[in-house]
Amino acid sequence: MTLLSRRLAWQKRQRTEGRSVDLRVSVLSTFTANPIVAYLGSALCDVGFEPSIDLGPFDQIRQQLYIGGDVAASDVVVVWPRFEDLWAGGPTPLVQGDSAEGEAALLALGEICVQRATDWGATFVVVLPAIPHLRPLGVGDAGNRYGVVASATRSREQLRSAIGGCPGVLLFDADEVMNTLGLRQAIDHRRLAAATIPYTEEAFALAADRLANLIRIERKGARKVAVVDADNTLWGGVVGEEGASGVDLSDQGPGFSYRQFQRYLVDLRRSGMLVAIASKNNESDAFEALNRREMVLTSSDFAARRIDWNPKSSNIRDMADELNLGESAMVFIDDSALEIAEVQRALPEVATIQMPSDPAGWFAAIAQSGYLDRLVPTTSDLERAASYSQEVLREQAKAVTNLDDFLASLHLKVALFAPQADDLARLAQLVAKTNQFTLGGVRHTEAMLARMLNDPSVEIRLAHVVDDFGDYGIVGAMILTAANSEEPVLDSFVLSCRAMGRGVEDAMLADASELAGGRLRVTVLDGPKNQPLRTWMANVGLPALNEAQRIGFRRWPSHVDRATS
Amino acid sequence: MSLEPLLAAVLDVDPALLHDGSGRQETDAWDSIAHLNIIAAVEETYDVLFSTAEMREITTVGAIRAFLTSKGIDA
Repeated sequence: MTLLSRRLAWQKRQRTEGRSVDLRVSVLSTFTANPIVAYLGSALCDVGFEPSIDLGPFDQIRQQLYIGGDVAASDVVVVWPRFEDLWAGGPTPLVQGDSAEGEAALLALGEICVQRATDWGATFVVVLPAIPHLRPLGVGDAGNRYGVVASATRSREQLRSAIGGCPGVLLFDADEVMNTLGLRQAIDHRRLAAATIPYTEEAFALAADRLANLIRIERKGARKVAVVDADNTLWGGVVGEEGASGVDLSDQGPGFSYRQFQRYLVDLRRSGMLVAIASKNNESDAFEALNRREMVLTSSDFAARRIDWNPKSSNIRDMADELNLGESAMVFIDDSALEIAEVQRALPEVATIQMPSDPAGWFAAIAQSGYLDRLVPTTSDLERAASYSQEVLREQAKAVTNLDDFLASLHLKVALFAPQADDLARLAQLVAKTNQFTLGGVRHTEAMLARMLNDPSVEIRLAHVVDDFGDYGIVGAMILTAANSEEPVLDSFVLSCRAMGRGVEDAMLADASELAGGRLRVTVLDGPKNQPLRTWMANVGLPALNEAQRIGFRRWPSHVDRATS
Repeated sequence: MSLEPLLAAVLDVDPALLHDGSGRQETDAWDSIAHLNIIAAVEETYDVLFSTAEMREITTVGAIRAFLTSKGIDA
């Protein structure tokens, strides 16, 4: 799609009658940012939103943030300053002290964003400004501790440390756009002179795509599993034809790129992503190649494996079930256009990336898709990969015994505790990303949850679960509103799928009923994906849907130990 | 794409309303932001570049057509 057709498509979409907006976005900048509107609108549509995009008045970010008004009703506020504008009142940084005012201004801007994210319950995307390319010393700027690059870098890092990780605040790096396109393609001095528009259409379009991806990840969660093909994806050549010793894993040429890709998968795994394999091969051939010493990934790195001749779509669906995840959590990477098309047709929710025929292009293909992008991992993310290999052992234990014996043999310990500020990110993640075991009501954003944490009429509990096979981490959360009233309401009740069906949910409900003095009310919605929760609720005698029902005192399950966190 | 339909699409007006004299002065939809949208659309469609001065001075359908003609483009 050309840039012009994207702009015209957005124009048309905005006119659509009866369009029901589900994401209100405001963009505040120190420059004229009008061109971003159409691209951000269309990019957000592409990732499943029906957005409205409003632009704040030119160069009035702080005024807008102080006054509030319409901006305060936004779901997402993008704040995009430029150093050139922040520095406009003083000299371009050259000697010590030149950049002090600009640094203070950027930091103050960041701090007010943090404050407003909580006040307004909005997500703030703060753009780390691009490092200016106009440098009076030219090549000499590199050696100047107080020069343009040094001052801008210092200012960016101050901002990043001050607000990175704050509730409701995301960071986006404008330099990503400059570096991807190059200055010649990203900066337009003519438009800057004519209308204070510093960037090209390409730059705004790329920034919009990346911003939309960031917003999608924050709102809907990052994808969780990379399912990779083997032949011509993990190694060069076809193992069934060339034999395990014949496939290319050499340290020069194409083999180098395949191994580099494997190293990237290992890094992804470390950040909490799962890696699975779907290969059409004889299992023994593939294993022989997987066991070659040049392999960076080893067979135990895969959370799930399907090496057979079945259609890849059915294998991917199987693995999603095995891992207790939805299809939309999966990313499929394969060199074959045919396999990609088969999966896209059968499983439209699975994201697909085609490995280029020259493997040296693997990184460009992945970076451009954005499908494997994720936010800063929490401790739970880091533990997840390990937890899935524990799961294989748990499943083996389950196979040899009946369910009650199996549950007793786990020696589950559940600690339910009120979250502290440090736990907010995990709480928000659980609430945002749990699709199956949830009541199906409103998902609170991190900023809303931050307010609830300090609200005395709200009780929040997190569930930390451990068993003989390992630490699940913090996998459950529940929120009681009107907690001090006659009829406390179970507002949210979520449990990660990897802890479902073991009694953790019964322990949580027992605790909730106790907190509510046996007068708990709950409304279970008939949501698109929460069948697991509905089934469990019906099994424990709470079958009503879409209407409030009472929950009396519930017993703590006998096979679960109550632990303190 | 010929010039009038392109500009009409960008301005979101009926192409029949546009003639060589249409421009910043007389077409309501052609405001300063729309003007930059027009410049971008013309640059992308015909693979041309306006100078900074031309961006400011070329403000009617006829002037854009003359600009394109001077680059050897029949629009």
